[in-house]
Amino acid sequence: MSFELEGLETRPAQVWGSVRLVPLVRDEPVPHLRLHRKAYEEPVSVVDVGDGTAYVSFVPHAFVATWNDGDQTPAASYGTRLLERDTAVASPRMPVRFTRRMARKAGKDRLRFLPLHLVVEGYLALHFGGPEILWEEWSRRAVTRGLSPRCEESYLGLRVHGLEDALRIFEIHPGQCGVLVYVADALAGAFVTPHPDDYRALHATLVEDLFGELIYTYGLLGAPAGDLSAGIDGAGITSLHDLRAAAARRREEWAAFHDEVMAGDLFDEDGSRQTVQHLHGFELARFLPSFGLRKENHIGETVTGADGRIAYLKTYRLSDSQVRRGHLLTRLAAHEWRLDATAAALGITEAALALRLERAGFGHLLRQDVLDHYRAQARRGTPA
Amino acid sequence: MTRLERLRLQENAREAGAAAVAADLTAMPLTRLASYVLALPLDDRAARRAELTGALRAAGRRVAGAARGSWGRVAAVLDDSHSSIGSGQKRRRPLAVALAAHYLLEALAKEYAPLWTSGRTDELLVYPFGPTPLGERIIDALETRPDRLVIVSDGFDNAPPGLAADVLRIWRTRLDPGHRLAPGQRVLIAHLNPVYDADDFDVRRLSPGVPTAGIRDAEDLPTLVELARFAERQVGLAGLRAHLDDRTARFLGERA
Repeated sequence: MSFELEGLETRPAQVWGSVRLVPLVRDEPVPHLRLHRKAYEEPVSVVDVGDGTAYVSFVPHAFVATWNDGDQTPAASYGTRLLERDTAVASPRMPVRFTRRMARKAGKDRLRFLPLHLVVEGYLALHFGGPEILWEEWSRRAVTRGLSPRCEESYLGLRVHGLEDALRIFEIHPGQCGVLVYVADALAGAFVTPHPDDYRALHATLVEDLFGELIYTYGLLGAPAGDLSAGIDGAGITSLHDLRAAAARRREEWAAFHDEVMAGDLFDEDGSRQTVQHLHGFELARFLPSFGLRKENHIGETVTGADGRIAYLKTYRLSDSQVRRGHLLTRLAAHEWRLDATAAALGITEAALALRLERAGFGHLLRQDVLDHYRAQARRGTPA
Repeated sequence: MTRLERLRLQENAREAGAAAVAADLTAMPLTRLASYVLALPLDDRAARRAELTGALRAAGRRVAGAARGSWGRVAAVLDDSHSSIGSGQKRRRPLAVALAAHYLLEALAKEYAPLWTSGRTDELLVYPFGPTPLGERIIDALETRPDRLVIVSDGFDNAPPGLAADVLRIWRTRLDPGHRLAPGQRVLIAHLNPVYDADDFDVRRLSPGVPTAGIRDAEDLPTLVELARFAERQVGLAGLRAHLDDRTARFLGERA
């Protein structure tokens, strides 16, 4: 499985402190796909699509808004959705109660992204599918009572040192539709939209995005991102024409270097992909990495057009503990969620597997009596 | 009312229908007038194009004074990228300086080629937008074979970073037709930086070989360029003194 970021050109990075932002520019916006107009800060009555034909709108994952269908409480969209042109978002939704923590100093009506680690857990949940009913119950419980204390934290972009300043200072290219965020030259995530206006509307919201522990730590360490620009050697340049050619060559070298070396691990060839929704030729899919330990693992959502080109992309880099948990779930899913088969494949006893699930925060996947049985066994120290 | 007060109350007065507050734009100082123009919405600027352009040109000619047309071929690289929005306290100041410098250079030059970083050609409708491809713009400017090149930019070259420094270095060491003759024969390149870097107590330079100065008002541009010429040995100490004496006399003459 491999994607191509066709139609998107890599432009030179802008660096601020330890944050490097690499812009992606399109020649032409992807036709017939736009951000849902609720996502714009200023109320937009009509989103301009040029030729006025029918178009599909998308709502990004964890987007909080008051969807006006009689119910004025704000709700978060659970997973990216594709919709017919600007219609109201139906389920799945998750009602949100705003605590002081979540309320930023922004306008009352301002739409924002859900700033809880719920987003990431919910993301993983979405990706794994599994027995639907279990995930619903889990997510309901998670909203009311919070997650198990053993889950690791995700950090709001605001707390990643230097990210807010970098986003504010960044000069948006005309035609820019995407960006890749690096902290200390570790890829934190990629974000691509179909249209430059959509990108402009969402650029600042990257600061409300979630980042894992690795990125947060790199931000704290504060080492300035290195100068990756190769200078132009004066040798062989005898005219302004040569100079221009050298500058163009340098631009191409940077783009190639970035795409292959820096962003090369964004899409995992051994990973998997699951199509979620089809609408008017656009396909919404979620992709998972192979969860190889000690590797870069990114999860994300894509919307691809009929020609296979990526129109919308949002990725998240998993932290090490998330990778371990994902690995466990992958093994379970591969054996159809049967404890005995999975335990045999992993080379441990069923009881050990059950406890491992519980330690990883997935104890609720098991029936209570089953889990108690294994816990008692472990306490007694007798084998299954 | 002072001139600045009149200028500030222009728009409100227009709405309230009070005609007595009308400021005489042709008497406004150049940089202040440029700030005023940039504060107007684009539609207003387009609607009042003749009036605003006339006032800016008149102000430019007034600052140029007797030196009008004496600068020969001039190329200017002007920064209207997103960072020219400057600080929250004094908005769009770097862009106002660039716009004012544009009109002043137009008055001073015999042949003038302006190049904005965004690629725009209609200077009345500028606003801070886009990245800063200074390297490429400098190459474009040098291709017009100017006698003098003035760069008005905050020096944050980012498309791609570092290209401007390389271009300037290679130009001055290899490509400048005058560089083998004598330093005084080279194309005069001056970098004027409207933004002050509080960390270093200095302005950001594009290249160590190019004279760089901070500029706050575009009215100081001729003096700063003269200082750059002195640094490049294109004019001697006597010539520099004469220029400064002349500016002093004009300053005192205006005030007196």
